[in-house]
Amino acid sequence: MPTGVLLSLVILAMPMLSALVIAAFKKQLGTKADAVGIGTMGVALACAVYMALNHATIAGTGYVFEWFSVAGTSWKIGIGLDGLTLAMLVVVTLVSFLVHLFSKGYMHGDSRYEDFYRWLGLFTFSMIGLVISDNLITLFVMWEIMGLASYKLIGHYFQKQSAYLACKKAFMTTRVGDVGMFLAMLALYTSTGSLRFEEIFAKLGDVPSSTITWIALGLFMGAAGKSAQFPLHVWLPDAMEGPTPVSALIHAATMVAAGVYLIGRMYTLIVLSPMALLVIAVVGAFTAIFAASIAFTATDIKKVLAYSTISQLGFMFTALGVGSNFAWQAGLFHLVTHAFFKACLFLGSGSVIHACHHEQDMTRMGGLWKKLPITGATYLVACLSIAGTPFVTAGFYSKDQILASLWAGGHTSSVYYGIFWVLALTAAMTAFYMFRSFWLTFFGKPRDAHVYEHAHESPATITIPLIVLAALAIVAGFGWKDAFLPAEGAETYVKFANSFTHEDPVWHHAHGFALAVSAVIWTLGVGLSWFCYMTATGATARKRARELIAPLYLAASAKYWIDEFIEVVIIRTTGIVALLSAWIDRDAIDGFVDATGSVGMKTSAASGVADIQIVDGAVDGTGSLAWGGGGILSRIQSGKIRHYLFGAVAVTALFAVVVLYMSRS
Amino acid sequence: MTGLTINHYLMLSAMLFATGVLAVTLRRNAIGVLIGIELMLNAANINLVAFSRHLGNHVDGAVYAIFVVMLAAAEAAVAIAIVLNVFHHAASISVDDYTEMKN
Repeated sequence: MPTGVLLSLVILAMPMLSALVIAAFKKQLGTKADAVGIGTMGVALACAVYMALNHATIAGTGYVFEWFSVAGTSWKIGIGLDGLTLAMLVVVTLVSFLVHLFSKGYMHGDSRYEDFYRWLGLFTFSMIGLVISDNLITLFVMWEIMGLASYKLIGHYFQKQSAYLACKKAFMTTRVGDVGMFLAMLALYTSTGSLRFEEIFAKLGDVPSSTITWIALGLFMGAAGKSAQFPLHVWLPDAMEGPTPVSALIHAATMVAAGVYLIGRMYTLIVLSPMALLVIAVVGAFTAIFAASIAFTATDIKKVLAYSTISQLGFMFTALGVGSNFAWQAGLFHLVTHAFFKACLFLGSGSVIHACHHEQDMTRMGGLWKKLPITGATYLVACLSIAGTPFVTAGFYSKDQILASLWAGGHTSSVYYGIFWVLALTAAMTAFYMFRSFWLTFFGKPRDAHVYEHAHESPATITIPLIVLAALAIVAGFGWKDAFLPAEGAETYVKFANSFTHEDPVWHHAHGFALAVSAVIWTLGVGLSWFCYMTATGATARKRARELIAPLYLAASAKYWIDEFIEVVIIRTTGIVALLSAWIDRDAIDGFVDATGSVGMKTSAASGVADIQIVDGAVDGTGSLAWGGGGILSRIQSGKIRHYLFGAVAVTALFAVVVLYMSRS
Repeated sequence: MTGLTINHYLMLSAMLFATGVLAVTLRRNAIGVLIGIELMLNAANINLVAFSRHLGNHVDGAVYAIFVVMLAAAEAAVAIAIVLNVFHHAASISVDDYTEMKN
């Protein structure tokens, strides 16, 4: 077994070990459970970093074994390590480690502190298992374990009705997507006879293109459920009911990353269907701008971040919908950089919420910069990164590459030019609403004196993760992406619809153009938000603009009534269909069944009479004849020897008489 | 002596046998029953000796008769022992009280 595989197994085992140990020794550990969680994740992180540093030898190794064999079919599962897996492993273990550390301060004093750490461990375990799987079977198993863990974590405060409704919603909504994914897996197995990535990809040539399109769309449906793409995004904002560290973990490293990872992993298949690529790009772009417009109106600091996550995931899917090697790299690169700055933003918002005694409404904050200098500074860095500040932040490099690959994709299909402008607008909106949340929280006059008075900087377990993540939100953009996710070398394990080289004139031109656009939209977005929220004239202009687009503003703040639409159209309709089905079942089908049953009962009653009277009569008659005959015959058996002897003598005498009489003649 | 033929012996034997049968079947006393059996055995002995003489002065019949006497002695010894045990068991000498073979 290669070193990389052993290390990846250690990484996989660590969070599971944490979950098991905490579950087994909950009473003995008490609040010491955090040490178990942080310690095991530290080991996992160390292993992941070691693997990343030695990626040159580790990438490309793997280990396969037979899981079981049934009816002559051998089911093989195993571990496959390539650049994508290594990149994901580092991100997952790092963010999870920091979230474990952060929770020590944030969840302090929680009544279900140990349970929280237990489920964090399982959550991390499922994501690690998902990225090291070399087949769809274990990937799907981990995918579902993740669903369970997210359910438990989002519903951590299950005493609150909104929390338990939210965790149920998250679970059910992702299940809808899983149906598509499962159907795609079945179709894949039917058409290629295997669910291991290598074997699937080797046999794709024999699969008809319409089947591939359906499989790709099914996989995207699963990914859309997990990664909150329209219209399956509804669970994600509600998932904010979970504790803030969980939100950070869900939004940065695990849950939502799983969907993007799945599409990136199955890219060799996806690119064979231009139709599926287009669907992914359009859904992604629509989700991006749609969620960004809702983020404009949100006042809950976590809701802003939630919609920004949906929007950024839309960016990733749009990139993956292009099909070129740079687009693939850009989408997954954005997944990584997003993990860092979004984790930083979420943990930062957690720090603010912690400091303000669980106040989440931005309209009651303000002026916190002086009170929370470290939190404010890291939040600013992360905001700069997500807004795509040119040249210095990681977010810029990934977002810029997404835009560039879209522009380059326009050369093959002009639809991508349109999508490019949609995403450019969304990027400007992103810069605007992220800085809006920053200004509202940290600057201006304190709008609630009580909250302001009690605010205090968070302890070191909270600020250290923030500083680390803020640093990564800057440096993650430099250099390493071509080592892990090489755009020009990934063909060894991913196939693309079309490939560019760095020197390609098309790519060169697209890159330059996107760079210019990025710089302009950044200036526009940040400048406009500064004007609107930090100046007096801007505030009045903002109010007037809001009145001008009042219906649109109302629609956005009501989240476009998607939840209500689902409630009325889907859930109510399902309810009516269920009632109708119940009626048919009870009155029509049950009636028929009951009639059949009563005919059966009548028949059997008649048959019973015949049985008792005739058959039993015959049997009983035989019996009682024997009984009665026996009774009569038993009388002659008196027990008196004399009688027997007399009988014997009498018969002998009779016999003698007969014999003598016969012998005479 | 010439008036005494085989028929006389057979008559005596038949009467003796009939007496034995009646004793065995009618008497209630177990000892009486045993005595009846002895009578029947001796009736058979008389027949054996009588036919032996009648069919030409052989000793074959007499030898058989001696065997029968021995057998009767052995049988009486066993039978008396049985009767004694039955008497201990049933506290009665009457064969009508030994009804355990009934039904």
